[in-house]
Amino acid sequence: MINYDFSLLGKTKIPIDGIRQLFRIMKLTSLLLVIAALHVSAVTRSQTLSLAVKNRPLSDVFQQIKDQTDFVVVYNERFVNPDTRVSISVEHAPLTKLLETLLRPLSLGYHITEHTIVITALPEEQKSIRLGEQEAAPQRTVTGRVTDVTGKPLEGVTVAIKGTQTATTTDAQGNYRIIISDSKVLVFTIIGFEAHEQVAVGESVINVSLKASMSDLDEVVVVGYGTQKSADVTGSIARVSGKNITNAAVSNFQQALRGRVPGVTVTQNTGSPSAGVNIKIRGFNSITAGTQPLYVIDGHPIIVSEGNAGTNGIPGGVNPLSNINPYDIASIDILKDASAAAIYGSQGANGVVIVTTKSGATGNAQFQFDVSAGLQSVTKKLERLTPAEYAEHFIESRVNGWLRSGGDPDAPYDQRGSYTIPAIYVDPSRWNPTNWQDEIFTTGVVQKYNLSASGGGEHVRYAISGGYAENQGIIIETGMKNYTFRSNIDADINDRFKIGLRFNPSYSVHRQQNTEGHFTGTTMGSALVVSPLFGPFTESGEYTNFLAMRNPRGIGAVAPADNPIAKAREDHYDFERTRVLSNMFLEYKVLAQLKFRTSISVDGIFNRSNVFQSSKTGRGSQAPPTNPEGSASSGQTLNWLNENMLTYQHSFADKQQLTALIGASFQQNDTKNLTLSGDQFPGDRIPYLSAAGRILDGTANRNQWSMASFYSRINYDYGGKYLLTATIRRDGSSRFGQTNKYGTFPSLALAWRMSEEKFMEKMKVISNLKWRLSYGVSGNNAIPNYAHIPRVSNATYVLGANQSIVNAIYSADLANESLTWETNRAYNLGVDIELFDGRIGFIMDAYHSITDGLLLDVNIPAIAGFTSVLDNVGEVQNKGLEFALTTINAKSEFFWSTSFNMSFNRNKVTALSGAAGDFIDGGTAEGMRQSRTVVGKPLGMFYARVTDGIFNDWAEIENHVPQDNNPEPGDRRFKDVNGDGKVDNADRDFVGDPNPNFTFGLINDFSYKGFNLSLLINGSYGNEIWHNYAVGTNLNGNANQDAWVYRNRWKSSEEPGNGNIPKPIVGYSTLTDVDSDFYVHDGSYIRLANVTLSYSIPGRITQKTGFRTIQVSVSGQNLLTFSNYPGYDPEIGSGGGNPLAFGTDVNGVYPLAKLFTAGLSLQF
Amino acid sequence: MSMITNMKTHLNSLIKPYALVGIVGLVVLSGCDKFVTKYPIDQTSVENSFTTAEDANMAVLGIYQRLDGAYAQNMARLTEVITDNAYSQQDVLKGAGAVDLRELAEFRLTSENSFMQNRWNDLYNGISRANLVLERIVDITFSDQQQKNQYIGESKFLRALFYFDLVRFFGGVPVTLSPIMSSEEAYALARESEEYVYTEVIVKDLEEAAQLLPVSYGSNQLGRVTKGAAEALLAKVYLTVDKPELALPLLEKVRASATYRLMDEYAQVFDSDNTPESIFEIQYTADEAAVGNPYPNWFLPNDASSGKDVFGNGFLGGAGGGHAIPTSELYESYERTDQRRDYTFAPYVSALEGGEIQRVNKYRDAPASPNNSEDNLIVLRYADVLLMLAEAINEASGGPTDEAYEAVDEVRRRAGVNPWDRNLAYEGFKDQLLAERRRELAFENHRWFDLKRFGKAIEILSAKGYNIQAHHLLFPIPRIEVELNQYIDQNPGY
Repeated sequence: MINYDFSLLGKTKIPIDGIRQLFRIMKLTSLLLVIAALHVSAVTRSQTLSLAVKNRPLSDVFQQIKDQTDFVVVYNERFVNPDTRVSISVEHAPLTKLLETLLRPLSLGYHITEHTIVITALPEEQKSIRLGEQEAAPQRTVTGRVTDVTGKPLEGVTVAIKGTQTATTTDAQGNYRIIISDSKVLVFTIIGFEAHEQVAVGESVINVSLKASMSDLDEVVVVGYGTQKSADVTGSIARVSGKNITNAAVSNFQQALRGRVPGVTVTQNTGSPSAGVNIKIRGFNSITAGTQPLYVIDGHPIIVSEGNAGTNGIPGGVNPLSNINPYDIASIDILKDASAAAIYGSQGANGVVIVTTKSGATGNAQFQFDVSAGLQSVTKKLERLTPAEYAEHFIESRVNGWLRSGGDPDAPYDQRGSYTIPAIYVDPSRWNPTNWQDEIFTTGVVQKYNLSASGGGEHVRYAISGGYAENQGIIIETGMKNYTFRSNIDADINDRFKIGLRFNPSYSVHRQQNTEGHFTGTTMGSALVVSPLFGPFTESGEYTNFLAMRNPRGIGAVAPADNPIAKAREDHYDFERTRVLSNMFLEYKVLAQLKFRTSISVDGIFNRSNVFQSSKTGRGSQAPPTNPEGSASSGQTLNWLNENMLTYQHSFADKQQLTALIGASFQQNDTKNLTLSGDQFPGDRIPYLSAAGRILDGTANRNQWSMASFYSRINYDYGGKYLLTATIRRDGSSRFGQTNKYGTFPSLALAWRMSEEKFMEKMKVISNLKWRLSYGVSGNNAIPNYAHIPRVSNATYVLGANQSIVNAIYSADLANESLTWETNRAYNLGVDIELFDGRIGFIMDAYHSITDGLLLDVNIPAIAGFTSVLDNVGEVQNKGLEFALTTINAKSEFFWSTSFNMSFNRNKVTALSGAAGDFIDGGTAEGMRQSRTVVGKPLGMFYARVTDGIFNDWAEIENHVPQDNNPEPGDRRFKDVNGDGKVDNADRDFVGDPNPNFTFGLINDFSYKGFNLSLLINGSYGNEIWHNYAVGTNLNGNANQDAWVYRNRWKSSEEPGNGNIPKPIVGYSTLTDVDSDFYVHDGSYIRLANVTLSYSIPGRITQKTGFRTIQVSVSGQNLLTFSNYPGYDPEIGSGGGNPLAFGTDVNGVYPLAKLFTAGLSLQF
Repeated sequence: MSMITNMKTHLNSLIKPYALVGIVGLVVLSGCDKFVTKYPIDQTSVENSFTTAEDANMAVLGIYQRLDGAYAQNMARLTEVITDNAYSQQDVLKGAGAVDLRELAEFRLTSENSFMQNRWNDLYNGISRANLVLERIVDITFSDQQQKNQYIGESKFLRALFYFDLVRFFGGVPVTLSPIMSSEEAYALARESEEYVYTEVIVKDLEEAAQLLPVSYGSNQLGRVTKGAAEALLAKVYLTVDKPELALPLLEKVRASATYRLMDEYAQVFDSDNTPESIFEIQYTADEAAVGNPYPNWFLPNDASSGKDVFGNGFLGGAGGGHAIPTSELYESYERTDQRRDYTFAPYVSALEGGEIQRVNKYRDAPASPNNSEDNLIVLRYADVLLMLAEAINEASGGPTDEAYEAVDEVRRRAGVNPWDRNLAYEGFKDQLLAERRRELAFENHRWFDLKRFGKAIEILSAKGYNIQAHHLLFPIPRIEVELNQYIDQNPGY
């Protein structure tokens, strides 16, 4: 096995296979490019045509034009009467000339896109100009470059010919090219800059530098059910533009938010290509009801936990938002404070992430083609025992076990009962040294293709795209393919009506591995613990049967782990998802100031999974050959939403502005799930249930929820100085008990733009100073659908001489009819400062949020018949401070900006329930009993015994209080925490905090000429990680393990190791596997998360190719990580959306990848 | 000031659209309650599920169904593995459960032991099921009053059985005889005295059950609790609380009813289900995974090398649970001619143990799949009644009588071993009776209770090297219960 090492620092080896594949991809790309280019050059407007008609309908003429040119002629019958009789006679006339001649007398205009001639009505004021000038105007090309005052090129500037519909946009270097007739005025516009007009008298090159307007303050921010100018925003809302999302080499848009927004923590639980991402906004506000924000995709709120039906048996999970192609995103707005999120009422408590996709703009079709391809590999490999050390550990732990159990020290190795040491361990010649990490890790190829087109005529605008992404995992036999499509259409039916469609079908296929879980039976977990003395295969080519090699009482030859290669290759965990998210809306302008909008959107999710466990793999500790087992699931979720709202907007004479919104929405979700499992397969050949000899179990579930909401918002702006936003929402949800069906969620926010005051006028340095103060109430309704209704479970019993199976029922749980949402009340105080015309920007927010009525499965005395009940108990507080500082350090041709953000969040549980001594232990998974949440401490604190070194001799043991595991010299000493004179499980204490002191992100952007370099560093400080996969492996004689642990072990009183690691011993798990602070590690890290270097080929070269822009880029992700954490990755360890057991590095989790990609982006 | 005037003028223009929306909103709202009320589709609710006689029947069977978890699945760990009858082969690396099992096998009892906690939880869950039936059945109209009585009798018997197990394991426990509807109620319950639990709950329930239950059932209802079962269990309760004089007439009544008899051969007791010897047994069938008995598989040795279980099935991967491997001392305690020995045990060559061991062979129906065997699990049988009769006489009369010897002889004769010499005093008879019960009822979940009832647990187990101390006679209350409920004190010594 070749070990691909992609470290930046020297010794770079590129795998030959990988390069070949990369070349193959590049060849394919070139081919596609050539085809695309040919296509474009076929479109020409200098075509000539001949035409002679007399008194024919206009439609006939259009038909003839179409026949001769292949151009489609499009018109709206409102303006154009196709039956109008016309006469025209031209010979070899240019198309444009012909159209002028034809349309001028009819007061019609036109514009030509790639394939279409759009006939338009001329605006009244233009008709005369157009008629007068068009005739003689000789056309010429004007090119030029648009920069800001510092010379930094501006991309995306609209360059329009004043009074016409002709326009173009600048490329990445600010270059544009436009064909004009003489003596025209060019208008240059872009958001954030003052519009500029320039008369083009005869020049062929016009370079323009634009003055920044109110910096970013004119930028429009999506606030939920509407937009607002950034300057007018009163709450805490952060925006990430689409450009930042596509530039980073990320496989989903959530990853692109990493490190960019203060108060927003983005972590991955697993590095699996399919897996989703956890986003935490301002700390955990809930314990059980979900901590993920509400995602609103083009107006449709999506709860990410929905749509998981049919994922049965699929490990690790699949990103529920993989249907969103990062390239399609125009912007992401994150509503962080409760005043902003309160408009989403009972769904807003965890913050809201609003994703807006790109829509088309009037103008010629703009195509964009992006391709990127890259290679990924594991960021780090763990140092496990060498074969020699493994054998030594095996022997040493058995000798210690034998002696402790009273065995005769002189007994030969093969006569020691359970502690027998097979000859192979003392005979290196029989070993087949294997590095299992090398066996399961591979270099994965990642590739992405995206093609989009956008543009529009006067009345219809479109943005359509198709994307394909393939991501081969870094563990063998894993990967995903994702197909996404989008069509965004907007149409102005007339002055009053506007309709639109957002249509986003997607399909993804995932090949997964059972990587997660305890080390038995998972690919990743097994690879870390199986014996390095054996290879994957025996001499006869069979899989090495590790489970069958075990001997007495589990203290035998190897760890009770399966052959990782067999697991990877023979077991199947296949998943596919089809998701169609579509939204149709209609806007009606009732009055000039009053707009009505109604929309219907539907989110359909169709999941299908197929799981097959082969006869060649074990089941738990059962050795193969096993009976193959399989299961198949399908899940279907249909979520529809109807929104209706009225928006009233009014500007008063004295600079007052009022915007009022009132709306109602209705949403319903219906989930159906079918799961079947079976066994008695004839073999492994057919991994589908159709081959199963017996269907063992089947379930078909269905559940629904519904929500009706009414909401209103008033924005009031006095003189651009005093801003007020008040919102209220009332939600009724089927999830809440009858007594608490409806909840009201109000908010109020005030802002004062101090910089607009008279007394600030002299302080030119300060271009913006805004204070914001808000209070809001929001809720969290992510609780089970029928939890407030006492339900009945069905079961069976057996009766009678014939052993008939009879039905039985019993009460399934203790119901709680008053169950309701969790309520989050939060204050936010913020300030926005901008100095030196935007050279320095500073945003700071302080917040305090209290969530009470936390939905908790409360432990209750089992006397009730049940051990827990879901109740609104509990309260958690988050206090925090976050800031972002943006500076422009250089603004000449060399441009350099720095953006630094930092977040401090302090989390504290202030109530759990009324009973005394309450606590909640984290996780139910095996080996995860170490986290405990109690009142007065942050969520998910690690709770375990406290180590106190190693007993070096008998005297130390005698001087210590009795310890419940009967220690001997070389065993671990624990503190008698409660001072009761003995050490047992009552002596556990809080030994670690998974919450970071702060997290930060640092972004540096450099550009020089066509080059652009972006560096993203992020990190976390002060959080601790529970190194869970070491539990049950270290020093117990059964597993491969961390080399650093074994190498520092206690050997004897003379060689005590590092003083904190006991001697190895087999068969005494109470000595070696006790949960203690030994497993707690500092999880702080600094990571070079993303580096992207791009180069835009200068316009003078691209012009010749027919492309507007050509950009090449290379990008790297997760390149360097500085951390003391001994596991794979501190981010994995700190991830997890479960507030009770986060910061736990679960056994065998799929590690993160380091990714290099090269990309090409073309616009034409 | 101008700001306010302006506001006024403009508010007027606002009112119209808002009024419109308000009207629309009101109309829509009225339809909302219905829209935001959803009931489970694939499940029923308690409200509408306990209303008919058939519901009552299913709910009673729901109590029986709890026997699987509460009684069968884990009982052997606390009654056999913990004693001198068996040890555990469980691999500690297999997980937390195995560690807990080892704790039991090595007599290191802690309040965190999951088996202890499961026992407590499952028994109270069974009690809650019985309580719900007993409360709801009152309002259900039956065309056949006899039927209603039977359901009440069954519920009371099962509730008594659950409380009996609780009190035998943990001592005085909190008592609730009606369903707990809110968690507050559960927090308010304190431990009752052992005496209270016996006299006010178990005895009363069983006396009433004995009144209400039929003597027998038709063949399609076999497996339900009978009058005889209630009487036999009540007798056992009286023996446990040292009232042999009250146990005696009940046992004689069971014998006199002639409803039950010893099977001719020991093997016949286990080879088929619901035999005339059986008084109450938990019903299983291997037809479906959901209703199979896991107990037999857990008793099978844990051995990875053969790739097959003892029945030759490959699916076990050669590894049974290894939860309860007979001690050689138990095996040796049988006489050579004792038919029970050869039925109860089978030799097994274990690579794991490095030689031949004895495995439990009492539950020998080949499982249909792991943890899914057809063997029923006997709770009460006539041989137990006979031995209890001898015990009651010995205790009540201060020594054995002929009737006592005859009862024992009947059991021994069937086993193919000689009757005892009739020269025993009280103490000697008691000792021999305990040993006889061990042989007759091995792996039927009696040993720990017998040792306790005979007052011999400490003497016998510590003589065999177990680390048993006086306080171990009561198991620790699960830690979480003590921590949650301020009225619950831990048993002394834990």
